Amino acid sequence: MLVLTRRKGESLVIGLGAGVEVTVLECGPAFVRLGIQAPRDIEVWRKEILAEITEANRTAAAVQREDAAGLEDFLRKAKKPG
Amino acid sequence: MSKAIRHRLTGSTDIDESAVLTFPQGLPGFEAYRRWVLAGEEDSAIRWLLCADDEHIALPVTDPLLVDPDYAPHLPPDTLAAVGAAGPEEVVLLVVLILPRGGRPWRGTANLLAPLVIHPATRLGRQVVLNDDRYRILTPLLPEEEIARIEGGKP
Repeated sequence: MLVLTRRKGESLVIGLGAGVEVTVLECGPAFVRLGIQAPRDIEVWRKEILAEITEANRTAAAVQREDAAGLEDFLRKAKKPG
Repeated sequence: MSKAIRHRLTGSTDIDESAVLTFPQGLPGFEAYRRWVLAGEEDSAIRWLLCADDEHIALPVTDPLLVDPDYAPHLPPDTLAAVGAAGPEEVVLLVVLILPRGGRPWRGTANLLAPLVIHPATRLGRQVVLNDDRYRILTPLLPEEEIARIEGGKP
């Protein structure tokens, strides 16, 4: 892993002409606030949240069709008053 | 141009190539798969996002308003632009469901934190993480008392 020291207000550029730039906006004792500029097709995720969503999608995909049986009625009934 | 794709959940389904939704980044957990098809009746609460290139991969999805009638997340402008939308009114939101295996689907959850944002005209999609602490990855589909009522009625 490349390790760099940056001060508040300083940036780093990832790739040449890739349009990815990370700026240190604020440093606290236990956090840093980063500004990230990247082309739209490069998604930026908090790593631990990406891991949770990856896990959720994989769990969701383990479904069998019959696991959803009847759910339709429950969902519609629960939301309809009366 | 229409061709039949096989899928473990639906058997053989005739799909129009023009019905394929493209998720240019794939989905978290399924990064390699860009082409997906929404299957199930248009007015059905539960629909299936089928992977067009792997018949074993499918995600149950629903309209988030069926889970949370007040669901109104702020969608990042970059996400809207990425699917080719000029504003939030142009896109359709769906949320991925986790359903328990082998029964009790009412104990399932919906991922309200990371909805699928789909533009029906460009047929582009992206799963986005909201920067909004009102929403959770594992949101119960039904309120606790409703679950109790359903299960109370069972032997």
